[in-house]
Amino acid sequence: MNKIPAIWRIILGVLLTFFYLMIYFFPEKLGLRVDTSNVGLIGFFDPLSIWLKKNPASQWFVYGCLYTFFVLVFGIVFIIKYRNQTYQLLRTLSVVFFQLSFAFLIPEFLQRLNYPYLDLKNMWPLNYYYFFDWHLDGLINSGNVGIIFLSIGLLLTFVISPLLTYKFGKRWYCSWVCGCGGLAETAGDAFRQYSNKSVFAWNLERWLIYPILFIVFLMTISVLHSYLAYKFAFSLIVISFLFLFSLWLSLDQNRFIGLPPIAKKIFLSFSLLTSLGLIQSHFTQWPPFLIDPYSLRSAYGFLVGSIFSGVIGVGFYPILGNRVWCRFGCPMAAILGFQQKFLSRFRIQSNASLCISCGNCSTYCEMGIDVRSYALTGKDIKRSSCVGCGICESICPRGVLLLTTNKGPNFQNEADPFDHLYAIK
Amino acid sequence: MKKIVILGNGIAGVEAAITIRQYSNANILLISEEHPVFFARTAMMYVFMEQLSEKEVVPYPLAFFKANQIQLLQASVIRVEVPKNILITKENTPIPYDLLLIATGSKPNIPRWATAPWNGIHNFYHWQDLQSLKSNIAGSKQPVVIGGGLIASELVEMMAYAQKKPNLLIRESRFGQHFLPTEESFLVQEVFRHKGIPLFLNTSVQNLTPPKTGEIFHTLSTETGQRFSTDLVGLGTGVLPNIHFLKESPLQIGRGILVNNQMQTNIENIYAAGDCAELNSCLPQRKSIEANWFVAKSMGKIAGENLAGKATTYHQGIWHNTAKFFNLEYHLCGYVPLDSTANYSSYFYKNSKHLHSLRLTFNQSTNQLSGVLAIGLRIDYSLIKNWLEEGVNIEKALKNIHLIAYQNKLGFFPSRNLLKELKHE
Repeated sequence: MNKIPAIWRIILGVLLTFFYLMIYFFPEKLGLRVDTSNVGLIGFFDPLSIWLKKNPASQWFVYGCLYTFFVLVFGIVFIIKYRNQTYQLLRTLSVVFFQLSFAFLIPEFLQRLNYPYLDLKNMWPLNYYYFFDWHLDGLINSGNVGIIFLSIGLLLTFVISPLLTYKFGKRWYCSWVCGCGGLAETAGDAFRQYSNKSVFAWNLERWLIYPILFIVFLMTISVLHSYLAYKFAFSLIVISFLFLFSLWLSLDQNRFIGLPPIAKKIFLSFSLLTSLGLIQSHFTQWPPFLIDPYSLRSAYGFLVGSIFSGVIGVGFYPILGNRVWCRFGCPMAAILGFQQKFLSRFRIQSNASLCISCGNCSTYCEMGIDVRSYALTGKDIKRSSCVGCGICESICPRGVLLLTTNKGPNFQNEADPFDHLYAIK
Repeated sequence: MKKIVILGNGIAGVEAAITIRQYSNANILLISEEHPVFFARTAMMYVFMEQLSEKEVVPYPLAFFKANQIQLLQASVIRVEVPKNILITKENTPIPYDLLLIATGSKPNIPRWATAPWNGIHNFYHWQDLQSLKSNIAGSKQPVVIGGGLIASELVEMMAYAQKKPNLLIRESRFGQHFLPTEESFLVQEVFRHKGIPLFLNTSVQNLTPPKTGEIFHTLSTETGQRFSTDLVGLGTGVLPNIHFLKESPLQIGRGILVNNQMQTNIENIYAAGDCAELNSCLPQRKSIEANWFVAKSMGKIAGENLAGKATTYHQGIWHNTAKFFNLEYHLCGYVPLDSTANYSSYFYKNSKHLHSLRLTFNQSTNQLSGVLAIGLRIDYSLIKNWLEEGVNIEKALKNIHLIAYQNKLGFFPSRNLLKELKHE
């Protein structure tokens, strides 16, 4: 039922990857034409595009249509599959709604009305170009509406998102709102069991996701810095933020007990280097990190924006599971995960006395968390990567697991050693 | 260094091995005939239904045992030579021990008629049973399942997955007579009916007749003369302690290996735990052999602590058990009589459409809550255990009924109206 033969998965993976490469790099092969009207697949979507926004289709319009179509169709399949679970029903309705409206229809209508194309719920740093000059200019130049959108975006990133994550855990975004999550939870549902559960994969996850967050941060700072004409006030704000954050990390021992010491060291060095970089640029007039911000952002756009989040992120669904991008790449997930682990009470409670160690929870965890290894000993599962999809709770045959934000008797911030799967202590 | 040998790598044996390693660096050898490494027996059904792979039902990888220096050995032990402190394997190899833990679990109880030499009779207990059922089910045209408990229900579910509709023959007047009150039995029977499984109650098989020449079906005949043609029989007729290899040993044997509350047998350096152990004293309303995963797990832990030299005693504590019949979960905490008795009375709520029920039983003379039984609803065991330990009275339990849901806030639990619908029987 749930196991697809490896050969089919590889074939499907290759086809998907091929399609993504076409969309991103060879749209003319799919029928995109500049001077004449589109042909082929892209031409097929022209009527819909003209009807919606009075313009012929682009490869991105086709991609958006197909994306939304798959979220919709497999969303229905998912709802039928989990029809007895209210949580799954509401969650799926929510992701389908956000994909259909915020990610697809609203931006298209905005464009039709000559406003900038904008997916409002797509926050920085998932939307890595939010603070790029052309994007900010586009918003500022479209009058009051643009200013309102800009404020909503800022509010979402810096106020609303931390508050919601504090209250509910990162699931409010990752498995209820986000478009990447939307596709993963619906069309990707059939592949959730192929996520790697090894300690190696867990390590890899940490060594990829946080460096990508650092890079996106540096890139944004460096672009903004030049956009704001190297104002010293901007550098001051960034430096004070990094300083205060470092101070918090070092002083609030109790809260950050689960943070590996090396992570602290890396963050402190990163803050120091970033601050030095900003200061030196005021004296030397060189770019803050000695790399031209524009080549930095084109490299990021190509490697992370296109290859990682698109081609690998979806193309590899059948091989590495449906959350490849969310797990190994997404800088937004890194931020929300940090808030979830160290600020929020959200966790998965487990009751060891009921666990029959069957392994359904671990197998069907799309984020590759070995849920069973916690449930066996009755530990709460408080992992930064958990997107709170609730499948472990739904699939558990014995009612062991519970997604909760209660201040239960078991609630504690405790160290979560890498080797807890192997060491008896 | 002491050499501790554990016979049987089921949940009791493995839990003991892990516990010993927590407290001591003794030599640990874990022997199993059935499977090279501990697996979740309870998840065999999911392997059959391709929901889990064979690898995924192994909770601790081989590397775990290696890292913690727990030696594994696959061998068949045929005799224990108590005075010499050695085990003898089928190949006549002696295995010496200083301390021995027998955790050999159960074996299927096979009715006399089923000992006939026919390979169409399938138990569902050992790993090997899974393989043979898997290879034979496809060719079966008229399977029959015999039994009125969890294993019978699992056999039916697996066969239904393989597109078969077995006849379910139950000796008693209802399904689950040994662990369900009448109303709850009816609910579970309703599930079988929904799945189109023909149910034959009060049907006690007495005889098996091989096919006449030219025919393919065996015939099962019952006490009352009913006949069932079949080419595959699934047996879910209970289990017995697996202790036949101890027949000539000086160990005190009742129905199981008799142990005191430290899991120690009458021989000082031999312990027993899990399904094969029989407590020499037990609480009223409890059994001296409780063949159950959770009991085996806690017995294994106690045995492990005692073997590591940390004297601890086993308390039966408050009974709890869970099971799942198709998609209907069963949760029991505390004592709920199966038939109406003079001393106990209960508040009961049932929804036949959504197939769930809740029963709160109390002692009529003391008015204290004695147990909670839920079908199709998840309950908070730790809360109920607290209530039972405190001896809360039924009024208080009813008043706080909304607290017992162990479900996501968005999950369905009829808490608001439950109080009104709970009826005193």
